[in-house]
Amino acid sequence: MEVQRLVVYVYRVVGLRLALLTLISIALYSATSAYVEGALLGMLNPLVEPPGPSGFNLISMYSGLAVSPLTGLISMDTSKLEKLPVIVWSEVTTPVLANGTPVILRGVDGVWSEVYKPRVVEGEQFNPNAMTRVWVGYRLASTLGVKPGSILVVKPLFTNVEAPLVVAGVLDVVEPYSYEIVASRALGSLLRGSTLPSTVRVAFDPSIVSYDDIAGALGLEGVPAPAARVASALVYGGYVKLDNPERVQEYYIQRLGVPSEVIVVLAVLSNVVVSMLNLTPAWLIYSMRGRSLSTLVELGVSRSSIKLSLAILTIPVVVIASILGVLVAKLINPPIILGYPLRVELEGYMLLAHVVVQVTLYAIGLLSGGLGED
Amino acid sequence: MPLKALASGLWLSLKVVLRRTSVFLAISSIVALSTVVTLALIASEYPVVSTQLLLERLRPGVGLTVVESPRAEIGVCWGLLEYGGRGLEVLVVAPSSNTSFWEHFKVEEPGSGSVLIGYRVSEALELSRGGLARLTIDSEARNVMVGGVVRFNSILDAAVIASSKSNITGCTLGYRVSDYSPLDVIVASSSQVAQSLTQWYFVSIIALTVAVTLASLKALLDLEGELLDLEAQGAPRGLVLLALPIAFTLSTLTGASYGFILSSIAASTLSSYMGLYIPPPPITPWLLAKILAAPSLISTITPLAVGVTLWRFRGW
Repeated sequence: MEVQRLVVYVYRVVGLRLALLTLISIALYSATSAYVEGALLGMLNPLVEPPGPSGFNLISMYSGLAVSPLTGLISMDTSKLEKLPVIVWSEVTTPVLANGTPVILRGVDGVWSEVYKPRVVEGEQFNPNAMTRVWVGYRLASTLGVKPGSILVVKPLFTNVEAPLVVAGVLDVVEPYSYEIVASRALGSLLRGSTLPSTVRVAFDPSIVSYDDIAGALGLEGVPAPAARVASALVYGGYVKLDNPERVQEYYIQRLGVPSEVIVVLAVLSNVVVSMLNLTPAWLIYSMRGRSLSTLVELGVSRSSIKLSLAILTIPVVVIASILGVLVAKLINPPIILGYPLRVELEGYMLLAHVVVQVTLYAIGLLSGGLGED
Repeated sequence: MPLKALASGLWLSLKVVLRRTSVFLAISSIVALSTVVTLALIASEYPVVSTQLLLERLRPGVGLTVVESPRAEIGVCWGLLEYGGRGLEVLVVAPSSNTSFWEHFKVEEPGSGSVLIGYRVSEALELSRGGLARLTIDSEARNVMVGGVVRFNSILDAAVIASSKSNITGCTLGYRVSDYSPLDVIVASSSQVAQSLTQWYFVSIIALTVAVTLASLKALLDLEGELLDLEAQGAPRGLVLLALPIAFTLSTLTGASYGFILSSIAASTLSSYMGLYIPPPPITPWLLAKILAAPSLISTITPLAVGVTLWRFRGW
């Protein structure tokens, strides 16, 4: 009963204004660190890998030599897969400047069109044989401000002639294609300067065919190949074989010698560093309400029970503020790489870690704050 | 007031301010925030630097860039080439006789009424030298003789190269033979990353402002008695109020410096691991303004504003 009365008294002492100040300040600090954490972790999230077609699993094979999954080329004999009930297609990607904006142009064939069935938002249906016309993903179309009939001047990275191309349509299609220029495979190859594809994809029904069947037919060993550092990849060559589309970027980052664990640790560490700011609003309570709280000490209430009451009252506010900060971070423009926005999201354990760190630093401030002794 | 007295008064005020653990830790947290902001901003600049490094080593080659002009030295249009019952959309490139196009791409100008075609066009239509095809541009059709098939390894492989004598007019776009640096794509992509961080930077600046405001409020309330004592001992009020801005500005600058140092250490570690040397980003006035000037200004002005407000409303 005494504790309850103490909490009520402390609640009146702290007041709404101070609680609001705590909420706003911690929400801001939380947003700042959540953005950095989210951007770091976003590097591991799928950026370039589409989901498999409905009901199918997807295996994508990329170059083991390239710096990024978007710039490599692979040579693979897929004719061995003809006997298996699988859907095989290839794509060629090239980084380009489209009317001055850096984006990815992806050359695809008719199989891609059948698998993903892009819906035409405006303009013509996708034509896998078009040589001077391209289609634009709806997300990119709004960024570039283009519509059917617009001219896109495309400057490719690997060849030395700019291509004036006509936008034939805007496509509603899954990510990452919605952020890209989609062209015919032949046009993509011309702009890439090679007939080899950047990615070979195999879609299969896991209840009929297994990954091992496909890997066996292609002569690939292991599932999937361990990530090799750049130098080793140059020596040994080979493919980055994936059966988990969530990990495509992670593989490429690991090849630069940065394990994903380091990125996770850096994310948590950046949160710890920024969360040090939470000490100030905790201490501010003692500075602004010092006299009222000191009265309690003089009346014989122990310092620890006052601090505990403060913690009971304010920690829920800090939890709400931390989560609010994470939501605010999602509203801030994400870092954009070649037209793809990184997903600044904290989920699962990382969200839990974020809130726990924020609360812990605040609680440390609350417990270490001087109450009537300084 | 003599300079020595001014300095000693300021030093005394600073000692009073920094003696408090809470103020000291508030300063540490401001250092921490400045470090994180600096690290993130510098990290976003690194790709630009590594690309510049590549640019220095790779000389631009000759290529074709699009210009918007009906009288460009090389006209570019879209057309339809038909042969053997099949049609293919093509780029129609019409260089003038005196352009360096022929020299740079090592092809001979075809004669009147004949054209060169890219290998892709040849493959798609199964059309070879000597074939007679129909070329339609803007609903105007004409027969053209294929004078040769060329492989350019670029979009020109999907083009029909007409001679200047073919009188192809009305192209609103054209080509210019110029230095072509494909690395512009990477440079632009790096700038895109840096620019996209702008909103986050502003949120960080607001967070810093709030952090400095709260820290100033806390420090001034804690030190109220001591600061008034100092004033009673003869230290001018302005001098006493200056102690916090100095401490916070120095802490912001320290945080930014840590950011610079840490980013260099991280980059050099990664560089040595990868066997590539990537120098730090150049310290441009804009980068300095973002990382040092703006946060320092906030750290200077905010405590002063808080001090003056307390002075006014608490009757100091």
